Amino acid sequence: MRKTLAFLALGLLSTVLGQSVESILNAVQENLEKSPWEARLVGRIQAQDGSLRAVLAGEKVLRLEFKKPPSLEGNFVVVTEKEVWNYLYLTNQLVIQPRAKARIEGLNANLTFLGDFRELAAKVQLRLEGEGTSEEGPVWRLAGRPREGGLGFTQAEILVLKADPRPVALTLRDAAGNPVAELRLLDFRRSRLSPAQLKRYPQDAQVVRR
Amino acid sequence: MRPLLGLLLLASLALAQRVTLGAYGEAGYWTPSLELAYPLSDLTLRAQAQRGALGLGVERALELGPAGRVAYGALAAGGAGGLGARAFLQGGLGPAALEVRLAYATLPWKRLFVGWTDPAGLSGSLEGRYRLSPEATLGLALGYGDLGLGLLPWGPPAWGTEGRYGVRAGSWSYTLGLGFRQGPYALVGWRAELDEEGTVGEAVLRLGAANRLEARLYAPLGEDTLGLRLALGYPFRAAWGVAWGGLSLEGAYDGSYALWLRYAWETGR
Repeated sequence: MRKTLAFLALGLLSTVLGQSVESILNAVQENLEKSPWEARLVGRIQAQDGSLRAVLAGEKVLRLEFKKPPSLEGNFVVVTEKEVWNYLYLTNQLVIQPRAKARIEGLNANLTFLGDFRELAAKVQLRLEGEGTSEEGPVWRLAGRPREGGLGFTQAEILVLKADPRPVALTLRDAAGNPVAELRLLDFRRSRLSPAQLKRYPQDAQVVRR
Repeated sequence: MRPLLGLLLLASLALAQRVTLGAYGEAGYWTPSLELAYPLSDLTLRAQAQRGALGLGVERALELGPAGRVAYGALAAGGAGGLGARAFLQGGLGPAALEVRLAYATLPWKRLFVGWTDPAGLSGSLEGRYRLSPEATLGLALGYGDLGLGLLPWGPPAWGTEGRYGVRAGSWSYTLGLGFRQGPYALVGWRAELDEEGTVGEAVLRLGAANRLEARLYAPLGEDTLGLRLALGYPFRAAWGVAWGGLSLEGAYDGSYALWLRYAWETGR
């Protein structure tokens, strides 16, 4: 009887948690789409100290500006619904690729989810691991594995702030369990930037369409 | 035979990703020009033609995301009683960038395609740049041939080398350098992003054995970018260009004139 109850409780819990993951991701998506925002992404990417400025404005335009490592400072990535723009400072080139074809190599992780959490849920089988605390406050801990290969990681963990549903930390690990990216989102704030401002690039750049 | 050739030409135009038609003229000579680009998996096939000459090339690029990009390719051309071949590698990875160009032709390249100004025989250039810090970049260039500043060769072909040190301060950057080409010269350069729309202005002055001012301005205009560039040399020679959308007009003067009007269609393939 006890065993049956335990199974029932586990089944009920997993159903509730399963729904919770979806509702959490929806809440995050709605919150991030509510108005333009910007934040600092700080941490380690492929064993290198990295720092990016992430900005999202309406029409799902996400801009990631590299601040560290020094060799990538000045580079940026713009992700729109249809395209990924890669600006390379040293060669002054803007490489434009269809989103389906583009990969944000170098990060070895697809950070485009910052602009589309539903896409993340489609690519990664997430489950609610539990709750925890962060500097910003209580968080939900989501973890999971990619539904298919080729994303550059095999395990993902995301901390989502409960009071203001948005990601505050992300860890991606490879098959051996080594982190390929450990990032924290700091200084989150609402912004007045427009999609056109996020798409800004030096007009003398060589534009390469792939 | 002619209808078949016409059909082949129409098919090649219809399948291209980018079609550029132009008309080039200089004292006593004019020619139409045609440039085509075809995407083929990871490759881009290129064709270029003018009166009596045809060139075919292939290019490929390794896209490394924010870390960099490396493109390389080769082209062979024939006609006008001669042959030529050229290759390039250009790209950047992390803090380093490299550009290598090598060309060989049995006649001046201009007779194989009006867009090239390299001399007959072997010519080429090697340029490397390294980011010392987020603000400072060191550059070194070495080459033999033409400077490639405009439609007409900029003086006789020669060996040249140049070292540059660039510093960025906010959206402005400054360059200082020394070079040698038929004598020593010094250079000073300035480049700035002038507004929130990404308008860029740039000027580089070389004084000494080479006396030349190059200025460029790129500004958004409608959905496209308006590009203006001018190169002035002493003794007097000039090269200039205006481009907007697919339309471009280039001109040069070195005692005689040259003009090239082009329009490019992007098919979006």
